[in-house]
Amino acid sequence: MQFESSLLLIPLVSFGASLLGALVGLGGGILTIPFLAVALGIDIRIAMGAGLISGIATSIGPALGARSATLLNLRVAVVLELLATSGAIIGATLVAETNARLLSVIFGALMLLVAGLNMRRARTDTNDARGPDALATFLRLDGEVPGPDARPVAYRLRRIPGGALIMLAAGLMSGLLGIANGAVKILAMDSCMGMPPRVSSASSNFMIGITAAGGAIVYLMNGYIDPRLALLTIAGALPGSIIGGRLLPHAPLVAMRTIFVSMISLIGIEMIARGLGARL
Amino acid sequence: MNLPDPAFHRVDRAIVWLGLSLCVALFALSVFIDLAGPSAGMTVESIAGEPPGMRSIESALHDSLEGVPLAIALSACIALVLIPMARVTAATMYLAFRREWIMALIAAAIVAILVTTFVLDLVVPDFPHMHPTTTPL
Repeated sequence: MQFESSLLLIPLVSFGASLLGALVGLGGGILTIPFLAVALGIDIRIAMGAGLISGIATSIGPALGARSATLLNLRVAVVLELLATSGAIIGATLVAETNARLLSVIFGALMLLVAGLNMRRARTDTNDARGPDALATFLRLDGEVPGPDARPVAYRLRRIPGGALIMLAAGLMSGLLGIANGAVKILAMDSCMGMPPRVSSASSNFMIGITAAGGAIVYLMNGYIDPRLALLTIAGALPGSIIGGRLLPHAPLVAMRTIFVSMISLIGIEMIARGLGARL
Repeated sequence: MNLPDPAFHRVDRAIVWLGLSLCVALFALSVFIDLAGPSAGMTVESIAGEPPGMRSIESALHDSLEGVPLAIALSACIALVLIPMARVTAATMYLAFRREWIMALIAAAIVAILVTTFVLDLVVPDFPHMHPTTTPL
């Protein structure tokens, strides 16, 4: 049986992307999809289908790590995921009607946005002193996170409607671009709602798979999921996300995020250039 | 007070392991059947070209039963898609068990959206009437 050696790059790149993605609370698809589309010349929609499947694998990996699971805020995840899933299904239905070059430009722009958002992201689990938010209190969304001395530290959430709107946009982009869009989910949770980064990373990992599943069902219907490509992508994404999930509680988040931001900035520019017909 | 508790984590992990095992088994079976029979091989061009053409969950499951490797591999993808759906279903039951009615209702709405989309493909052939096109960058 003929097997092209360059195909082995797919699980390798997917492994690295998912490891880094799990550490910063994002899906690996935002790095894997450009590699498939730009480096290997695979149709961006087929690459996005593989990215969604990879996003599900990335999401379930951390669930196997007990420590990251205990950081999950299930109430927040459920409330926000309702809008994200709805958005993902709507976004995924628009893919077949959208030009591949336009998708590339939108994808590149999203990568630059994600890079910018991650540079601004809160860097510690500390929580400033603020009063209770009425909606967060009603829905009992506030929680606790283990402090430096292992004692629980309470955190309060705010601006729930704003976070929910960002989550709807995250879902739309997820379905349209085939990524789990953890970056924008994290923006909704920690920058807008004031959730500690480790909790938002763990909650994002839980939500990524559900959003990706919503989009993946529509991609399946449209024939945009090539199981061979999905298999190669998962072969790297799954171990990468499992190892990333186990390393999450001890990871140097700032260093990881700096590497991540640098990579997606460069790839984002390349994606926009390709979409506009130029090659850098 | 944080939710969920360790009992939910155990159920959640069990769902993930079960779904993952099914997915791996199906992928392994598809590779085994593909290797055992005459195969056209696997190249970047074969993936970068036309999509495999399977656009229906129902037909993928039907072809899987007839031992078509690509359909079995696609069924593995479907199994993977079902894992988050099972996790959110478990979360719904857990929240209902805890009498967190508002949260249980919201979680149930997510399950309903996902299941409806999934079932639509099974009962409405060629839904949503879109035609894949491939355009390399």
